[in-house]
Amino acid sequence: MPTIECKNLSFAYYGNKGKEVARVLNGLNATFENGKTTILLGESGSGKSSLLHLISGLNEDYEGDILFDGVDAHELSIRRRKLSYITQKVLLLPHITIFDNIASSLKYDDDIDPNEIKVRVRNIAKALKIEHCLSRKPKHLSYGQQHRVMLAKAFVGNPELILLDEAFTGLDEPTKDELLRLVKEWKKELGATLIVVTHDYKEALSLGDVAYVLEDGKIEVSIPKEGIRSSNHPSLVALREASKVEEKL
Amino acid sequence: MSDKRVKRKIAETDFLEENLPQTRSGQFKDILKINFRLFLELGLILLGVFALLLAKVYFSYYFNAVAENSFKLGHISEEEKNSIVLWTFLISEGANVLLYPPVFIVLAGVLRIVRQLCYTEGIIFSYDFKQGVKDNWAKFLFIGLFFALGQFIVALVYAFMGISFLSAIPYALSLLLVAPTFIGATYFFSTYENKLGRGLLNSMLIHLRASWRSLLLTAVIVAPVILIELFLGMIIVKLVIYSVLIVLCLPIVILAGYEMYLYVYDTNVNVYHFPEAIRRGLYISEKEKESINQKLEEIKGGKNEK
Repeated sequence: MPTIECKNLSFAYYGNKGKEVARVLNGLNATFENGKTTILLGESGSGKSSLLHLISGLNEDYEGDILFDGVDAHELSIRRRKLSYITQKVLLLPHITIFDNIASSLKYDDDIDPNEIKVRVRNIAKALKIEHCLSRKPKHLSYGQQHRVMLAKAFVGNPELILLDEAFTGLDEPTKDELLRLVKEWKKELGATLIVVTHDYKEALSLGDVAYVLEDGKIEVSIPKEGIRSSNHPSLVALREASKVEEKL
Repeated sequence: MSDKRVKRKIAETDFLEENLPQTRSGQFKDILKINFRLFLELGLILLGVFALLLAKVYFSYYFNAVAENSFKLGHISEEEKNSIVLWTFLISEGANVLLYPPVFIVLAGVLRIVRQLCYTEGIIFSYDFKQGVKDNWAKFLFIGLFFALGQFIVALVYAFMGISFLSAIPYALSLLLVAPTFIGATYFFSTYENKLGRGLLNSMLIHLRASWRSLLLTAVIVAPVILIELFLGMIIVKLVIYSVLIVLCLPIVILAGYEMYLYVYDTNVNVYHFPEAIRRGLYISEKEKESINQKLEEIKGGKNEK
């Protein structure tokens, strides 16, 4: 499982004429430790999602370095990064079945036997209580069920790095609780490195080993696990108040 | 692509287990609705493998037409024309020995795909297709050869005895007993592991137990061929209709046949030997699960007693 280091990372969005529109990361230095869960906090536009984009390899147009266990990210294809990236948006192929959507994460891996693919898809679907939906198409499923499919798709390939970008936003509380429990369980089982962008205190508290607060394109402060509950940092205080979650969690 | 352009459909409520089809006929409609594109793909694969048979139909027509024209122009006598027509007919029927086996071998792959759909077990197309062929190619090759030889024998009887009460016997036998048994055998071998002889015998017994259903399926497969051969003269129209039937209708008939046989297997085979396979792929209520488990216990108990 990789340790990811970002060294002096800068990134900006450019307009049509090549003019810089917004600089979202500005010399960011951070380490995402092997097997740990890091929560990324910060205001909208602070660069949290952009950072996940860069780590995932979807955008390689940055300055500075991203290292996967010391190896420059430019040298690693997205596939070799063995990562799963889940966003709030449900990204399922509408014309194929749920089985095919989940299996698509494995089909291009030549090392996996097709029978093994079937077993893995069925097992993860069972764990997520969507086994009966496998022969359906995405349009037949509710938003919550589509989220479960996204999660199944993300975890079925046993990823080493999992990026969650507000992945549970919009879900009802019981579903969210259940999915958080499963993510924790699987993360532990796989020993994967998890980076989570969230505006949800419960999520931060439930998953986080460490929280980084981003401001002005840099890590402003790093809060250890025990601090997530007690820290008086404005970002966490705001989260706590917003979520109105009881401290007994 | 922007979100505005991608309209994602989301159901308002959860898709529940109870929403799954509860009957085989319900499942037939459901599978077709969800997998229509897959059925078109299967149809195109079948058309590919049927292409040689269609070419044979064309060449038979061509030789007959040449003989007919030559006779009309006075280049050959009526006897010579009849002889050409007869030999064309016999060679065409004999060619099936070479042309049927590949069709049936491909059918083994197609049936595996359809089985997986009925069992709702998920398909990895290339793998399942190959697996179906790998598991059953020898049995399907035999069935293909048997059909071809049977057809050739019937053609010989027809050619040398003409249409009479006696020559009708092999026709009747093949339509009422042999064809339904062998068509049923293709489904049986795709569903159960059985040796060739045993499987054919079982298929015949199943045909006898559910004869109107298997006869109906045989009629649905055979009738269009007979009607086209009897009533359509224009070769191009004939070939186009054959092609359309193969691409659009044959895979659907294969699915309908599978659903029908799964129902027949449930009531005639699974209930006694494989209760765990009863209603496989359909929604099973708690009450039904209980009765299936009870059956399983009974069978286990019976085995222990033995």
